[in-house]
Amino acid sequence: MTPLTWIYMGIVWAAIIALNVFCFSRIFMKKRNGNSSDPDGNNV
Amino acid sequence: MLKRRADGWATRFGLIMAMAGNAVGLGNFLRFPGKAAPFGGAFMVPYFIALALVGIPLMWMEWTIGRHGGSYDHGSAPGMFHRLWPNRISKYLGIFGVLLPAMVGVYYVYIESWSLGYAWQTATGAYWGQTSNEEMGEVFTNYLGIDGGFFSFSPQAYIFFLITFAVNIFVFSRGIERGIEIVARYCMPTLLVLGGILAVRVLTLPPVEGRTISDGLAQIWRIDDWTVLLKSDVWIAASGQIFFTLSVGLGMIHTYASYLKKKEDITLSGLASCGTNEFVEVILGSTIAIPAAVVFFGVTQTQIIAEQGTFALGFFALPVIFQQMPGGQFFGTLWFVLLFLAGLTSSMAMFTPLLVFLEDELQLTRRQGVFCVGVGIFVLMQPIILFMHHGLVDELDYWMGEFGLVLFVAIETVLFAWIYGMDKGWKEMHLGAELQVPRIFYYIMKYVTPVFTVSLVVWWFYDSFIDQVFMRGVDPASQPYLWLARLMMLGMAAFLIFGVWYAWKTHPKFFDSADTPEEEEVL
Repeated sequence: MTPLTWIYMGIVWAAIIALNVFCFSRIFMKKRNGNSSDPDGNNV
Repeated sequence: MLKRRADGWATRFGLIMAMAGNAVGLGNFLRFPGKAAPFGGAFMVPYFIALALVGIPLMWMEWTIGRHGGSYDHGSAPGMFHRLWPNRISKYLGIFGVLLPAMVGVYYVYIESWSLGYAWQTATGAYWGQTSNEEMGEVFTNYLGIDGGFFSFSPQAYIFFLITFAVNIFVFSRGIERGIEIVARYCMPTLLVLGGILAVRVLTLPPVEGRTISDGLAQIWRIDDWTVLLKSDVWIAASGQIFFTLSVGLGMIHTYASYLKKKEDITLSGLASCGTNEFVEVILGSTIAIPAAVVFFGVTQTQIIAEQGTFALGFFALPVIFQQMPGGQFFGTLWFVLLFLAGLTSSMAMFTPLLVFLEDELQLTRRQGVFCVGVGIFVLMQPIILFMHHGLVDELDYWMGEFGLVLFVAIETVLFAWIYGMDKGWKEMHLGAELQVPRIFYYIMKYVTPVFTVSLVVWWFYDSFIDQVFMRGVDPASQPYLWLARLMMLGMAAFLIFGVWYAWKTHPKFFDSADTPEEEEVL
């Protein structure tokens, strides 16, 4: 692995982890804040 | 209607884990590294382009089609397509969304059972002492009972098949909330933990004869030659992998999404399931099999193994490696349990569209539906097991898992983006959305995705369709068995065509006001 290859792999890994953090943080924050406001009383 | 509403997703986490589990399968750990390794890091370029231009848009389309169809009490593609395009042929086009997952499941469950069988064999050290790829190849053929006889049958493999089949039937017979969701909520986190443990184990392997884990990772990530991107095969391999890994084009996402309420988010949940799948595939999948193989076998031998196919990597090479690794029996058992869980979370989705079709459209009870699916699928599985050595799996995989998948994807993208209309589709997709999808995806979904998928069908016809139809290059002794596989597919297709015809003649929901466009506005 050359330094550039490590950087390439690191960027791809970081992008995927960032995508997951972005999605799941929004989902769990919404769940924490939004349960009581759901008119259907549905926790999905 | 009440029957469908009685079942559904209890939690959003369960929904996302089930969708991600549907996508995460054996392919994430075996097929992906095997496809990527021959091209090196250049593979990732078309892979991520295909993910952005085809994979993610398709995933959003399928979630949208599924939720839209579910609002009319359709849990399978025939009804969903009928509601997108009220034309007499649309419902018949939707048959692919039931046929493909069921027929893929027919062989997938048997392959999944090998993982369970190998987990047992590894835990008990049954093949310990077979320390070359050739010897492990013999262990594999012995396990399947391929010994030159008329049948390929071994009691051990059959027992593990029966266990795997029973687990699948049990899970999906309990429905979404009490079956599939519970398994997904526990299996997916377990799978992530197991994958993480194995990845750390591989990344901390000591050098073997001067070969380090850095050399192994380079096999996946280093770009030696950018001109490989000018060749069509890397683009075909990468886009094919995107279809497989996201499990799009099989009708399973549609069925899962049909249990969503009309204004439940799909954009963020869909992206989250996609992100989870990419984490498992690109981060865990690229870190385990190929890097370990390079450390123990070297680059040249690893490339040969990768070219031999998915099973050579998972069932020949890795068991050899585990025998040489400190704590190998433990980690080897974890590896095959991991594969089994990855397989289970996918396979339990495969028969669900068929079951839901029987329930929703043919008005069978859950018990009747499970009995019909269980018996029917079990019967279809027997030729796969007994004539494995004649290539029935490859024949089914080509028509259902490759050609059929691409055809279905082309049909649904054209139907959604051009016939239903991208404006309506975009609006439908954003009902209750917690993530506003960037506008550029509107144009990607309207133009790029359909054109790409239709082009892929045309290319497929040109490249291999004729050869495949006429079985060119196939051993004449195997041809009758491949015809048997074709009869199985045609038989299932004929049943579904009859089922759709009968359902649309008899089901009350096709004669009430729900069929009118006004109802769509109300819903």
